Amino acid sequence: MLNGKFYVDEFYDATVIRLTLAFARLCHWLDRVIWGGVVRGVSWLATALSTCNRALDEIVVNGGFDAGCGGLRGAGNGLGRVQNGQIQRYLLAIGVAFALFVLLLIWGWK
Amino acid sequence: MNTIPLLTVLTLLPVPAGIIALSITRGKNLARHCAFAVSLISLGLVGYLWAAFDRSQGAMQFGERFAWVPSLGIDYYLGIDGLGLLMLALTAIIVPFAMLASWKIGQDTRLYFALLLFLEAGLFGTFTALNFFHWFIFWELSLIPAFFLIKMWGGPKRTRAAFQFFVYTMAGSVAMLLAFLAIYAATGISDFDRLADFARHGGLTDALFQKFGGGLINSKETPAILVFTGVFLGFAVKVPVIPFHTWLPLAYAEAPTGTSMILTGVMSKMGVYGFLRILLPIFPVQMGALQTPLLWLAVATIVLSAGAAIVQTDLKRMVAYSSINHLGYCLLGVFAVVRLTGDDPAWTIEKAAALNGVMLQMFNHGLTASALFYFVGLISARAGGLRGLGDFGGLRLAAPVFCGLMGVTLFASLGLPGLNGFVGEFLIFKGSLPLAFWAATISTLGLLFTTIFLLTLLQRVFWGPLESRWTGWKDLTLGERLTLTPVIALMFVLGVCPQILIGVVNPTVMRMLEQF
Repeated sequence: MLNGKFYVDEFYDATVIRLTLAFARLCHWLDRVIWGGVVRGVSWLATALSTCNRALDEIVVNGGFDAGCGGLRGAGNGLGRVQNGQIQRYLLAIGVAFALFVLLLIWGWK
Repeated sequence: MNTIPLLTVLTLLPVPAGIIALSITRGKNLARHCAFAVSLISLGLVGYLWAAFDRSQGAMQFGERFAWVPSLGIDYYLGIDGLGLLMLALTAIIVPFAMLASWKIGQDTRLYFALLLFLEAGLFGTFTALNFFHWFIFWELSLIPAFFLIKMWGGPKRTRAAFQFFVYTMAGSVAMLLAFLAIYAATGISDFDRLADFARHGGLTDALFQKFGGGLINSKETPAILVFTGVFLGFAVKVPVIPFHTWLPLAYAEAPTGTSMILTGVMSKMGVYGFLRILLPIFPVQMGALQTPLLWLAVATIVLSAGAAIVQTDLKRMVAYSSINHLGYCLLGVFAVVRLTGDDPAWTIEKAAALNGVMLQMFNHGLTASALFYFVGLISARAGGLRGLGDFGGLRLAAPVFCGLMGVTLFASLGLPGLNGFVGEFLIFKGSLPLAFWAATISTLGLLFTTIFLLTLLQRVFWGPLESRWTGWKDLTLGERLTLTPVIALMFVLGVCPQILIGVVNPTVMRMLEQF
């Protein structure tokens, strides 16, 4: 007992020092995992929202606009082919339209 | 005396000087000398203000007011009381100190020193402006040079550090700006003193409720509490208050030494300054209502940061956490005084002690923390970038003067009586203990932990056997000793004669308490 100086140092090591170190490690853990985690979470959320926003922009907004433009271009091309300057084609179109009109009138009278 | 707009001159002087330093093409040395000379002129100007300051009154002095945007009622409005003067003095001392610490910066030297001057202008502007819009410009302007100083001259993780620092602080500032826009929309007032008068008579709570009440907001107090929270967030990030602090260890650790010195020495005080200049006078009722959670935040800031500092292995990160811990004591003092105690003079004495302590702690921590970062910078520079706690040992044998002066600084930081750090902490605890007993009692754990990690630092770096690789370790050079002499001398002088500072700030404190 006397040789071990009443084991005061050992007692001190086992209590005060161990407790202080455990608390210090807890503080460090809180810092890295909890407080840092919240910040990383907010940062991740902001990045995720930005990615969604970009996807919405590129796929839905731009995609819809692009599809509309494509359709318009296709329709223009189709109509362009019809308007080719050949009188026979125009007469044929007028004839078909007239026949359809007549059929419609007859169908309407019935 | 007031024919010369001294505060405007002081604030704007570093700007053209920075531009001149930037445009000097005849060599880096001239730019360095030019910047340093201007910082000394600023120090001289602040010295004149210190001498001419009327210590018998706590009101604003050296006032300047001009209509700036008359249609919106925004004035160019400057002035200083004891608190403002103290912060100007701190800025004027730390900036040349940081310049000397940065003397060997070799990359883009002209830009580095110009940015330090721009930062100084931002800080002077922040501590002298008394109108929100005017003040907010300088508050934000100071962020920009600090961002570039970290980003361009920082350590390996500088990009992340600068980005976190900027975005985090900006987020707080945005919350604060929104809150002040709400105040302005409700009252049409943007001068701090007029807002404080208005708030004192209950006008602010009523005006905010009239403007924003109704619907879900049916309690009269709610709009004022929400606005208070917005302003609080702006300052809480800047101090920082735990849990809004995660940007700080990285920013302080990655910033170059001179920038770390200004970040910890002055910029961290901007947050506490905001608490004293804006939150306490304008939102005393809201702070009183939220006193318990605010005190717990202060206790968490003190104890958790000190605890985290104990297990840090990087010297800079350890000093960074120490900085959070020391500013936590300022928060404890500020939050303790909002206890509503009536006009009992006994309470007024305790509140005065706490507030005097807060202001002294701001100044003293600025000195000691910047000196500590200077020492860590010197260690790192001599060790080829190493700054781990386990990398050193026994340096006292090779560099006794280095060890002695850093020891003095560490003891000043842990609050040894006779050195400057003691007085502020003593006054804060003297005032806080009767006003907020439990918070102050638990906070004393922070004092204990501070002693543990600062003595551990001293022991691990300087004591024990000298490692063979450090046998050629150079002691402080003459230039380094001369750089440190004024700061170390101030630590002793202010430790023995704190009246030098108390004489300046006490009238301001008493005036704040009269109006409280």
